Amino acid sequence: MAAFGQFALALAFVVTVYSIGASVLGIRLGNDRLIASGRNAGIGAFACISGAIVSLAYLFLTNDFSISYVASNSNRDLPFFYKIAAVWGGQEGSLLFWGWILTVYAALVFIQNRRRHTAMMPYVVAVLMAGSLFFTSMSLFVTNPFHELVLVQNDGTLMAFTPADGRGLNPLLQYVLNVIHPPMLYFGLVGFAVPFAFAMAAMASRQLGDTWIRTTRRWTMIAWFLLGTGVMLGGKWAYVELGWGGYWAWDPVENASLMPWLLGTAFLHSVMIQEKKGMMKVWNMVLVIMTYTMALFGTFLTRSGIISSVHAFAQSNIGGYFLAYIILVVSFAFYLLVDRLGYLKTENTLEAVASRESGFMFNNLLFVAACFAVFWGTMLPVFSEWIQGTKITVAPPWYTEVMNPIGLGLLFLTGVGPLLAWRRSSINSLKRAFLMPGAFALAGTAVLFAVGIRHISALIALTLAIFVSTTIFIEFFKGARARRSSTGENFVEALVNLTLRNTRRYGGYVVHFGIVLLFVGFSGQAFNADVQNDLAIGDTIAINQYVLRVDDLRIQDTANYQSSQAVVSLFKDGEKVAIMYPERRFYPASEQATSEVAIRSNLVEDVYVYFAGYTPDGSKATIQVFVNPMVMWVWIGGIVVALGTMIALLPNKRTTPSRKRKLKDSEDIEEPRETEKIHA
Amino acid sequence: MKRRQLKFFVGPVIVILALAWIGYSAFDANKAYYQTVSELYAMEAENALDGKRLKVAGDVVPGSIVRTDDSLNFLISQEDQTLAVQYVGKAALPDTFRDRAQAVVDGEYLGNGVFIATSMQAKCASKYEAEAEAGVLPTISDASVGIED
Repeated sequence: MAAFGQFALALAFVVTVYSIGASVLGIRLGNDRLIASGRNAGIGAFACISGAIVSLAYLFLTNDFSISYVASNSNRDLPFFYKIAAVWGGQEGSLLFWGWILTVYAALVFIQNRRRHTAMMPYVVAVLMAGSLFFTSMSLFVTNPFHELVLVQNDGTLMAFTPADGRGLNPLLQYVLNVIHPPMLYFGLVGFAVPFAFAMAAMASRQLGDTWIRTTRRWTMIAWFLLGTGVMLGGKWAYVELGWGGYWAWDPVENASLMPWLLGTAFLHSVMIQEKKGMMKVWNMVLVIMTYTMALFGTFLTRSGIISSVHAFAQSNIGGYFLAYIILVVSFAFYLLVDRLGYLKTENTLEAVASRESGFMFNNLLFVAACFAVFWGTMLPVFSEWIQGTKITVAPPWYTEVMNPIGLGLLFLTGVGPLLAWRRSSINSLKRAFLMPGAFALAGTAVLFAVGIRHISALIALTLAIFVSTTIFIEFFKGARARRSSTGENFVEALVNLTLRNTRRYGGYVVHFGIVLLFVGFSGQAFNADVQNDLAIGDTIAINQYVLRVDDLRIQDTANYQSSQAVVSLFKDGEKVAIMYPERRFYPASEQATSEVAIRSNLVEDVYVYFAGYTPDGSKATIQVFVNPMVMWVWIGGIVVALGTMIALLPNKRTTPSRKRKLKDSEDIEEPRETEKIHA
Repeated sequence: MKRRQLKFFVGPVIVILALAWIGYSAFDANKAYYQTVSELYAMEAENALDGKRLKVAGDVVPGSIVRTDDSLNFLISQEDQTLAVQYVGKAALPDTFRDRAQAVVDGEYLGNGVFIATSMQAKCASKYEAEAEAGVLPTISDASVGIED
């Protein structure tokens, strides 16, 4: 089966090279059959790499430890789902998986657009397959997951070697969310290849209207959604699995996934100005290039070992290849951009500071600044070593101090931006729009202050949260009320139909509301508390209004791990509210220990109990307890963002002709004009 | 650039300057020098350490981990040089901290090969590497010898 995988990979390589060649040649010769053949070859490459993936999964499921990658990432007792997850759990497999996802997107895009954008598509095929060629080559020549495990004997000869059992999947990765977290993240990162490829194709074919943006809007949103969800799941994983009581530590690996998300968010916003006003064309090109570059860079960062991280990725020699590839991509893209500047003239200029355009500009500025700050902090050890010869690192509080004002600024814009008019907003319209939200926000601040919240940035965040929520609710309310009076629907029907007829706008509001909830969750961090002690059975530990008592310490064995578990009773204000089971596990296959924290979560706060281990004499358990307010709102916010994105992805419900005329001049309504334009 | 466009640059410039200032002023309190054990000793020899906050990386020496009532002591080594670490941090030890783990300790160097750490990160050396080092297994390489199925 390894031979089959190897063969599929080699075939994918050949087919990919053919696909690029046929597309480029087809464009040169104007030969439609060659172009179609190149596109079909791209779909064929997807089939080949799928074969390689299936073959690798088969090797895992059949415990074929003669294969080095399988022996390093699995063991006989590993549960079924983790064996599947192990396919992408290590270096070699994850790169193959990355390449596979790229071909998934490519195949879908090729099929979706097989009769559309005939001038642009051959370039799209060439760009996507060129990206795929890099990953296929890596899997085939550098990080091949199908290699056999061999021993170097004392006389220097090599000998095939099949261990009796594998050394197991890293136990920290053995967590149910982790089966879906990396694929989400990869699908998100790789997904930005689609808008990137269309942007390149638009420039190469000189089709620089907003066709490429309209065609890729959904693809960009899907990538953004999956990446964001991946980041959230990563936070959730860190929270329940790592045992230090938080969900985000500004670790390089986390930063690597955040950077493309920040730029992707900027891109999602700024394309709206191009669609509406024909502005910022060059900037959008820069953003899409940088977003895709950051997606590649994030992969490079986590695979190359250039930055030390708590995430134990294999350090290897692949960094050089990645860097060369990234430099190639960036140089090619910017060369093309400079060459096509003449086609990217803006059609409008900014007219007023208080305008939607200006709001988008600040939005972009802050997202890019956030990305730059994260990049700078992450890469400082590398840069400082180049310049000074010493590695300088920044501690997490630095990120918090810098990102705090940026985040608050963005939260403010979330409320203000959507209410600003295009071109310019009059003083009166500003007053009308912001009087009520402003009043609510101030009243809310007074209440928060009265109940004793003095932490300044938490206070600002919560005030802004009230402000933004109010603006969003007013938008829905006003829209639904207007619709009710014009159509006679009841309020709920009007609300639903309003949303379904302009999914992008109202889905966007739902996303914004989710972001507000995220910030509410983040602001809870200002009030985190923790306490730690060595406890014997019967001992108690107190924190805030809680008392915890250790009732029992017990040991259990399973095939995959041995566990020691504490049984802890939780008392709130003297009343028993829960029994919690924090646990430590030891995985013999990988000789690694992990902890399973116990969390009691509600809308107000989490009580988070971590079993850190036994004292040296084995009589007491070291227990650490965290009280983390508002954490639940982070997860709820993430879910609301996901729901909002799904709404925005829905096609608009068709409007009747008379309404369409009325709506035509109102903002954000989508016109299906890209197809006509291309065929014209 | 037309003059009337100038006003649109005032806001962004203020924002950028303010953020740069925040980033700069928060930097000193949060920076740390990242070194391996031997780099630390090299810097000590040059008297270049004076009170700097440091992050030192090395492998935990097997059998050196000793718990006392108020701290945890262990040795980290790299290229035959060792550093005695006293961990006094509040946070619980990472799960990955054990013999032969790669540890990064964060704190202050007291001189004479003693380091006070207030926080620590650790990751595991892979099992085979560790065993190969300890002489349990011959060196393993996953270089290709061709595929035989």
